[in-house]
Amino acid sequence: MSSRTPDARAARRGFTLLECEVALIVLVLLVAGLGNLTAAHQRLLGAVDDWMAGDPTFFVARPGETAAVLGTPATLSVDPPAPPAAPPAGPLEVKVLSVEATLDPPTASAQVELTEG
Amino acid sequence: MQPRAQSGVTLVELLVASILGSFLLIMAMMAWRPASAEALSVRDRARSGAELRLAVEALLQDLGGADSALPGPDGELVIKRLQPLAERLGAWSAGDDDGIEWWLQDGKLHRQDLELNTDVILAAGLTGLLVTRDAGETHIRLEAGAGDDARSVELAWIQ
Repeated sequence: MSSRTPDARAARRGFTLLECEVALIVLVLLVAGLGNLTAAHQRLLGAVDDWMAGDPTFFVARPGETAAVLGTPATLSVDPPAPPAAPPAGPLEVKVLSVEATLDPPTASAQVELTEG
Repeated sequence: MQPRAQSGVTLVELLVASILGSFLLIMAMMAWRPASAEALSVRDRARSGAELRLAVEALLQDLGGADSALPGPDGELVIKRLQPLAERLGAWSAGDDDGIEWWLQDGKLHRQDLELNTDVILAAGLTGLLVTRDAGETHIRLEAGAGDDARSVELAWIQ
């Protein structure tokens, strides 16, 4: 090194065009990587935001009577529950299957079978 | 010119480079600020959603065995249980069930069982409980969050 002339030292003071281009390429790759990372982050946030958007209305669907007595929770439905079935139009044939009555306490219950005539 | 004097950097160069680097860092942090705010907003909305879900799950537990669910005089929700269920739970006295009241105070959703004398908080961070009755339907609206992060869910109970 000590054998070099002052002119040669002066020639090494700056940086070459190749060094400049390599530095630029590294910088561009770094910026592109950061840009991709930011875009992916924004896409993910947007997807989560869309997933949580909206103020929904749900209909409460009650369980059957037996299940309700046992403490089964209701469920949610996006559709309104079906209206109750229309009453039968024609005459009904009523057949009493059994009758049970007590005096104390005064109660009576019957089991019947209904058939549309 | 001495070769050794050219091999390092001067204090002025170091100072200028440090100032420029600091400016670049500040600009990068300022550019990242909107993305950070968005992330915080999503976090707040997720928290509101979790509280709403807790409240809805708890309400469904009572609505499953409800005989009636009506708005009370002070805007609370009054749920009366089916008689067999109330009897099974020991909540049937003097020929009726006084019911369960759901009300909001300081963002906390209370469930007060008037027969069993219990009062529990089932969700926090809520901003509204609105109970209305219209055409045979009870609408229960729960709200959480504020501003752009506000969320709500509405339950329709048809009787």
